[in-house]
Amino acid sequence: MKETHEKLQKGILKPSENLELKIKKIEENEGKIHAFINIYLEEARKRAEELDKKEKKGKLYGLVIAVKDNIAVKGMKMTCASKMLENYLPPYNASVIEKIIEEDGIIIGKTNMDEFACGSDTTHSAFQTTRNPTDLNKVPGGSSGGSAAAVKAGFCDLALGSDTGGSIRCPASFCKTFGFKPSYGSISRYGLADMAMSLDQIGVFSEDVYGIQLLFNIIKGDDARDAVTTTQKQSTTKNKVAIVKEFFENCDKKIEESVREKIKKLNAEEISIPSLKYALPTYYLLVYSEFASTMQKYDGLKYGSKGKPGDLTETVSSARSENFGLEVKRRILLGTYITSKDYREAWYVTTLKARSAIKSEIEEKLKEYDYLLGPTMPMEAWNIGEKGEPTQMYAADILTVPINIAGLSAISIPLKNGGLQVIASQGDDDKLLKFAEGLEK
Amino acid sequence: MEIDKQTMKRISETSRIKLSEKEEETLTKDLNNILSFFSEIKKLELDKGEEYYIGRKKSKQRKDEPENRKEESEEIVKAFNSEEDRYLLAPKSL
Amino acid sequence: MKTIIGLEIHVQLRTESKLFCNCKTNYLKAQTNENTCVVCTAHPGSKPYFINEKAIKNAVKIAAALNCEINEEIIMQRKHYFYPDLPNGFQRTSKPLGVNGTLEGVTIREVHVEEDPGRYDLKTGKTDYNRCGIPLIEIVTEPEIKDSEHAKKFLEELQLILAYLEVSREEPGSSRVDANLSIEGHPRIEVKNINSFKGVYTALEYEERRQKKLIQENTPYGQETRHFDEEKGTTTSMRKKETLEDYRYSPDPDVPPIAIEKNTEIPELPKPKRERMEKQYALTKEDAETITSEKKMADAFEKIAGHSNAKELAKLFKGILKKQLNYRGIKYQEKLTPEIEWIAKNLEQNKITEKSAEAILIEAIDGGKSAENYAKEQNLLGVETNIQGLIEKTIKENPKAVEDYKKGEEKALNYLIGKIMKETKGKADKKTILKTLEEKI
Repeated sequence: MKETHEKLQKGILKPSENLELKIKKIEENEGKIHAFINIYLEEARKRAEELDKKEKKGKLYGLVIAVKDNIAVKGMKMTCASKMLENYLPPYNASVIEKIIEEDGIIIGKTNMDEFACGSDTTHSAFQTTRNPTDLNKVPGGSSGGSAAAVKAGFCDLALGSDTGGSIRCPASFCKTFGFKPSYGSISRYGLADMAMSLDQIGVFSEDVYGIQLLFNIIKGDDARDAVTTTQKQSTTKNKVAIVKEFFENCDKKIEESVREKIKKLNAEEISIPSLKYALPTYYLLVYSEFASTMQKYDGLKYGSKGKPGDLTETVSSARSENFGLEVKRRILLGTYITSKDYREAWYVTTLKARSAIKSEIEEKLKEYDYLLGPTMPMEAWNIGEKGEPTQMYAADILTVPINIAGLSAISIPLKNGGLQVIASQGDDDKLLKFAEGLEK
Repeated sequence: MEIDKQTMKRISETSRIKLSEKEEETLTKDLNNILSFFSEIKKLELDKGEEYYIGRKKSKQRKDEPENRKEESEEIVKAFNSEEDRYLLAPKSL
Repeated sequence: MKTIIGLEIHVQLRTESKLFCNCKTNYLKAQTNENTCVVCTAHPGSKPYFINEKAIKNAVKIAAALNCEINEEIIMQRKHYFYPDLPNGFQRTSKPLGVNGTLEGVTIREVHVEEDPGRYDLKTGKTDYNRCGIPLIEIVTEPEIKDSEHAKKFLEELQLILAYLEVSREEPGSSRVDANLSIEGHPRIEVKNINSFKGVYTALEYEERRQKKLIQENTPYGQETRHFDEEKGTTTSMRKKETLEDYRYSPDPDVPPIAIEKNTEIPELPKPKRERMEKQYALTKEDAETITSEKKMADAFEKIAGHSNAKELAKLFKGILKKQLNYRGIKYQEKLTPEIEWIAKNLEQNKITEKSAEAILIEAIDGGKSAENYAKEQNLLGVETNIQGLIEKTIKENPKAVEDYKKGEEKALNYLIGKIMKETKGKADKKTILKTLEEKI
């Protein structure tokens, strides 16, 4: 989208013209792909018209941006793909959205996702299934499947997603586009509905690294409204990269070949990170406990879908029971279980210790190497409906979850088969993107 | 069987998720499968401390300066599912 | 039958904005649900802002005043339960900020900060979130309080300390107490919903009596939580369900650890001030208590006592000053200090009578006229010359009357008094004249 951006900045292309190009694509193919839960064409057109007349051009001037439906945009519904928030209108803009609007980006609509980000293929939405633009029988990946599909299908120039355990990188790999999850704390989460507080980050989809850099540089930064945000110092360059042995276990052979071919010239050293063996249980148990906590706010009283009339317990229970999908319920129940008095020592406390162990082992390696490399996903996109059983789906996250456990920065670069995941230290976002630029050719 | 019927009843009550008989059965099975899938973690002997804070390590503290968010509070009141005189109407308890 | 009592005291801290957002804290004056935002009403995507530094500073002062060891760092935890006044479905409450303090012979187990919930009316279901998120300090005592009198004394001293510090709120409802009472060897009963320090005495008296009766009647009873009815002065049993919550306390990932500055300045506290002033000004214990019942009053006393007779000054403070303040139900105001100083000085020099002194004080409180101006206006200023000298002169000049008085003639005394009154043009105080005459004769 570098070309589009430059044309807009130079005035060769007008915002309304760019928007119409996207709308045309939407009219042609959205009926097949279902990337959006809600589209706001009228609002987008109005905004584009205003921008056409604007003299001073913001850095995102005229670019069309799609936003995952768990990020608050005032005036647009924020459903989190759940019946619980089917008609919910947020009274505020997320911090990232404020910045996008300030830089003259045009937000066109809210994209489909797994309900409350609980899933890896976007088939767990309460409303619709998004199809992979590269093959309509396949899933687009998840949970930010709608955003990845929208970018791939040309419905927008850039898209925002969120990534807790791979929810940006997985769909980027499956839809064959670029997806970036910055270091934990790089981008404000104010306005992002939590999945797991210590793992979530907002990230970017684009058809090129240029687009990712452009949008990332605008939305990054400390925010007094997200107390965990922090700008970290870039690490020193080691001029060494590593490929992780464990990443190829159970990996599709074609994908392995593609990855090794792509990084041939980098002289990557092969290393082992044994603690990755328990990354998957660590990740999911953390998710369950944090998810259960953040979901306590949905009681059908203050906003969202209401429960049946009755006493307090009945009303709140019916609101939650009737409006949460199965996977959401599973995670809440599991989270409640493993943090409850009798079981927390065995499950929750162990998980926290495992997290420390994995994080420190990876950080040690990243003291020696600038980047860790491997495939983003161990398989290609599966057919819609194929992975119905929860543990089948969980297993697919094996390569992406360690990054969130350790709060690191990672990007997925599309390959002929699968995607290449490049991982950098927490705080090395700009360094990583520069490196990815080099790999783009 | 880590989670038995009684435990399932208790956690669904605690998390305010009412389950039908069938759902209870299915979910109990699901949950037990999942926990057994992840049970290897219980065998680990870890001497590491528990890490909780992945981003900023020490909170900044903000100045005590109030803001008036009239527009936002109006929308918040409008969003209440049941409202009377600007109060949220929750079910009574007495 | 030994009584064992422990208290958990919640007091609102004095801040302009809430603990984790910038909403105003004037909930008693604001319109219903006016002081709200997405953070304190837990809208999807909202996150806690950086913690309010004033709240922390104020809490540290209280911990220091209670002789606590102050921790260098605290973390926030989430205490999970469902209730309409708790929008997040969890309350943010900190780990102990201060431990091992002491007050009135009672060990303070710990002191921590937490968010106030909103207000939910059980009868009508009406819920107001204005109060939600206001910073509270919770003071937890060891079960070392011996009886309701001891509790009363403890709370009175605590209230006085808080008044001295000026870091907590004093409006009705700004303090709430949960009390635990047991008769040695028998189950512990918790009493909730005591909304004033005064109510604690009533609740404890009632509970002690009730439990002792059950024991005498050999009626068994179990550990439970009871609800205090302020109007009736009784406690009633709460539904069992509410007494067995598992709060699943977990560290809040959204709030990084908070550094605590231990060194804080607090004023001289009531007890050391009482003891010092008793010695320094030769006051009775009672007088010292009265004068130090308000910090501003004690400060005023010390300012004036510097150049005034402390004994006489004490008389003035505990006499007409206290009377007039109590009558109006108001606190001592610093603006009165110069006026009281003037009154004390002129009383000492016998330039005004005690009666005039009271009138002048009333004017200073109500009307705001300076003592000197009012006294001049109302012609209350007495003789310029030394009345002592005048009396001596009169005695010298009227030897016969003096002789007659010595013999017991009432008439002679009146004659002498009349002479003096004539000389002073009626401005002298009869009582003073009488006293002085008696002394001299």
